[in-house]
Amino acid sequence: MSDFFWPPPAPHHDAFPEWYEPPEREIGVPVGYQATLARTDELALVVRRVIAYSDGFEFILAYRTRTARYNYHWGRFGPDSWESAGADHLPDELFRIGVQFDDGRTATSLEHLGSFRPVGPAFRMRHGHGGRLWWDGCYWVGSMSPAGSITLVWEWPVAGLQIGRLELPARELREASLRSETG
Amino acid sequence: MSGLARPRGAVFEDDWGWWMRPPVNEMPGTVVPHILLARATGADIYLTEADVYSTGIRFAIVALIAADGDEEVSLLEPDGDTVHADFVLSVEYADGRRASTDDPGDPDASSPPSPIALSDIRYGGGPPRATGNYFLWPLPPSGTVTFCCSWPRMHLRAAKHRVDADVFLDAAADCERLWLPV
Repeated sequence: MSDFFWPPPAPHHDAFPEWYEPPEREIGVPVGYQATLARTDELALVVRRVIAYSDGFEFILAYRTRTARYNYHWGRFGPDSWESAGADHLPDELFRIGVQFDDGRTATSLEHLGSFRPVGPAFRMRHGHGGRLWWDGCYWVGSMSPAGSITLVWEWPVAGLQIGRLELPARELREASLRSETG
Repeated sequence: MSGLARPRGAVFEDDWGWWMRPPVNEMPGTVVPHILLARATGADIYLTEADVYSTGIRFAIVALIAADGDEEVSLLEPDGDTVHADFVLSVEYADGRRASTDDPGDPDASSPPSPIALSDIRYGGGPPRATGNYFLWPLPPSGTVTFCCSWPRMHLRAAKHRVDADVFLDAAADCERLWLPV
């Protein structure tokens, strides 16, 4: 066996690696924060219910649409994934969101999490629920920036949302993270 | 309660059972802190994620279960189609109106089955963290809202926790109606 190729860590089909999910034994510490990312006649996108854990934080991205003119889930799943079309650019129909730490590390909803802990924060929608006119997606940011800003970045061209940025309350998040205890 | 009208201005994706879910044209107000409802043997039970709409409260019950808990008995899921044989949650308003998950009423009813309704939305997880999601209709009057949990197989019998209704009513004031019905 060479020095380069090694058997990878066991796939996390049964047990997620610790960076993949909030710590199961923590209830988390809510940070009373809510901010509107976008509001048009057709839709609203709001960051809400931000909860800090010892090794990251999660938030709800609340999507509401008046007529379902745009599909928030477009291209996200299965055979209709935006990647399966072999696109060498990001389709305007694809909603995307990511996070940037002050040290330059980033992660976005476009990347796949694999066997190894990402260099940047783990970032993924853990779960969500909704219907034709609404969706509450719970996003996990599996790392806490040790200092400086934590910024959300989003874009959805087809819905008229050019790239937007929002600084989250980083200091409050870090302080709350330190208070998160195991139940 | 037969024939109770759907609230004006509130939009639902399906008018059937509108009292069992929040309107889709509102951004709810939030109750920020988690509320520790009860401590059972080997489990702490929290009320979390309380979102307050014009028509009611969507919230989660999260049970953090000790490592040596029995996986077979520690889920919040209903045991059977209509009856919670294990974990039971009830809510009582200051005016005496009460609802319970062990008395869900007729699931095919065309109007709310009782003066208030506590509807199960979904469940997830298992030890060490189990979650149940609920919708409580309508908003409570001023006074005390009493949550009562029982979980016999976790040796928890009728643990009551009282919450000032203003916690929810203040959050309701932050609920925003985004647009009127199309």
